Amino acid sequence: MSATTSNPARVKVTFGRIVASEAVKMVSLRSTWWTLGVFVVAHAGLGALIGLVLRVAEMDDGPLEASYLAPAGGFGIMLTQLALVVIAVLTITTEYSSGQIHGSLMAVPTRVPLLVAKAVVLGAAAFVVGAVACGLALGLGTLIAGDSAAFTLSGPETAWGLLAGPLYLLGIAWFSFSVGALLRHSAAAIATLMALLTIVQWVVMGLPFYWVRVLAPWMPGTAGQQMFLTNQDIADARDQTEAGVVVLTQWQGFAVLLGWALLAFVLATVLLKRRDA
Amino acid sequence: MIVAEGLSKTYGQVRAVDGVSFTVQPGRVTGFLGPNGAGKSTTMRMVLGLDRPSAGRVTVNGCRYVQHRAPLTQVGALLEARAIHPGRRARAHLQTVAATHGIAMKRVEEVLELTGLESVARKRVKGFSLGMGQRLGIATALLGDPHTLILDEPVNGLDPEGVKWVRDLTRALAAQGRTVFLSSHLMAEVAQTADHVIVIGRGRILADTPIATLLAGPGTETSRLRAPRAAELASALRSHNIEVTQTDAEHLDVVASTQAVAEAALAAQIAVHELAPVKASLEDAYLALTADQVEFRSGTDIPEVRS
Repeated sequence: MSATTSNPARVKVTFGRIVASEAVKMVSLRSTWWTLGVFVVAHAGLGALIGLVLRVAEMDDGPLEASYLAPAGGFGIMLTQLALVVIAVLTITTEYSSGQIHGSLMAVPTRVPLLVAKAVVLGAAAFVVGAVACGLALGLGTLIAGDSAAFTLSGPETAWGLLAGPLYLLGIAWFSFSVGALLRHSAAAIATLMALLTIVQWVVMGLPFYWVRVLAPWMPGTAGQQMFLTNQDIADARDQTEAGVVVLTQWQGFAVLLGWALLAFVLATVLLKRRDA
Repeated sequence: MIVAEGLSKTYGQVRAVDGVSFTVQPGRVTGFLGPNGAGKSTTMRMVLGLDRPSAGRVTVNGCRYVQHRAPLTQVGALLEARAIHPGRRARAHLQTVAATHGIAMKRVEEVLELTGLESVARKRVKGFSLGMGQRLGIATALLGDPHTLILDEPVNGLDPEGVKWVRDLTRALAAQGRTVFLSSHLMAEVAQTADHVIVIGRGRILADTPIATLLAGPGTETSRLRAPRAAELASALRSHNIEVTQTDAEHLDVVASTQAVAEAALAAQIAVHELAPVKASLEDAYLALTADQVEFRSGTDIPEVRS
């Protein structure tokens, strides 16, 4: 016990160090690599599959948009995002299920920086891995589709296509993480998110009620999905929409998704401060 | 040093901790003793800022835990065993904790060596035995080389060698002038390790004294004797207002010194074949203190087994 840390005066908690600690936490778990690996493979695979369909079916709608292929066709990302939902939730809920949260809060007794650091690390991981997956989906899809997917990678639509996917996944990861921090229980959080992001979107949104159509654009999943539409898609939707039903632009959709994430995150920090750990 | 003043914690209707005040001094091992559910863990969690006190306050080394800029250099704690993500390797777990304070990797290796975990440093925690998990918890507590150590049931799940190791370690840490506060529901364990003991029952402090004082404690001198005319002797002793329990045809347990019993037997002209003092053990002293305070009491005496 005689040996101490090299320079005790410099040993203290800083936000950067909490982020570093959370990064070590994330990379030191085998489940992180499995989940992210499965996500990338599934997402790129779906992109390739769409490319194959395009090649066989011979589309005559003109050149394919990158904004369609990068998120693996809109529906593709709705499936593959579930891997990121799971990893985002587990980032915080396994701390509670294992009791690790006590150790984490003893190291960071002010609490809120811990949650922010986790969100930073998770957001970076979701964005980077999302970019890789979307890039692969676009590249493989284009390669396999051949002539039917003629576009240049320099076009603004292509650039947006490559950016929208990672941004959307970042928003989904933050929202999922915050719901996990609120509920503190893996199964409860994942079930809630599945319901919000898929069941609500696929089942409830199809119901023929006016109020459903009014509320639908403001749900986190539907709002985020606007990001994968082209300007033409949005213009068309605006022409067909009824009074009182909003059609969000791509950025507005992203803002609404981030708004949900922020709302859940603020609630989670308030509760983390108040509740006994 | 840990100072608690009027510390209370209420969960709904239940007062888990009820206005306790105590000081844990540096330079010695202080045992925190009480039956299960007495409020030991809740008190420790309040010291560490994990639970918010319903009333009162508690400081560590002069300020509340949450106010320390480098809390792990002030206090190292082991709460429930294996509160560590099972999928992480032992060294990686220590790294995550060290990283928050900028504690050097060298120190991680030191505590691994100190706790005898070097050989399993690359093993995932889910494969750990209870004892190894406990050692990793202690390694985590020592990481910041803290002035104060708080250990909740540190010997739980340890083999005899591990128990001795914890005992030697805590005594060595106290000898270096550190504050060591360890809880247990086992009197014998505390008796062998601690210099001072704080006894808690149903959320209240029942005793806060050096171990030696507790032993000498509530002056219950008792004797055990064998006499052929035990029943007659019992009534003779009772006439002197001495409490007597007849355990079988020839044996009595008497709440009095051997001297008093011998005098009374002589006066009553009853022969005594055996007479011996019964030393109050620390366990007895503890049970006497907590007799009214246990939350879950066993129903009755254990029925005799008939052959």
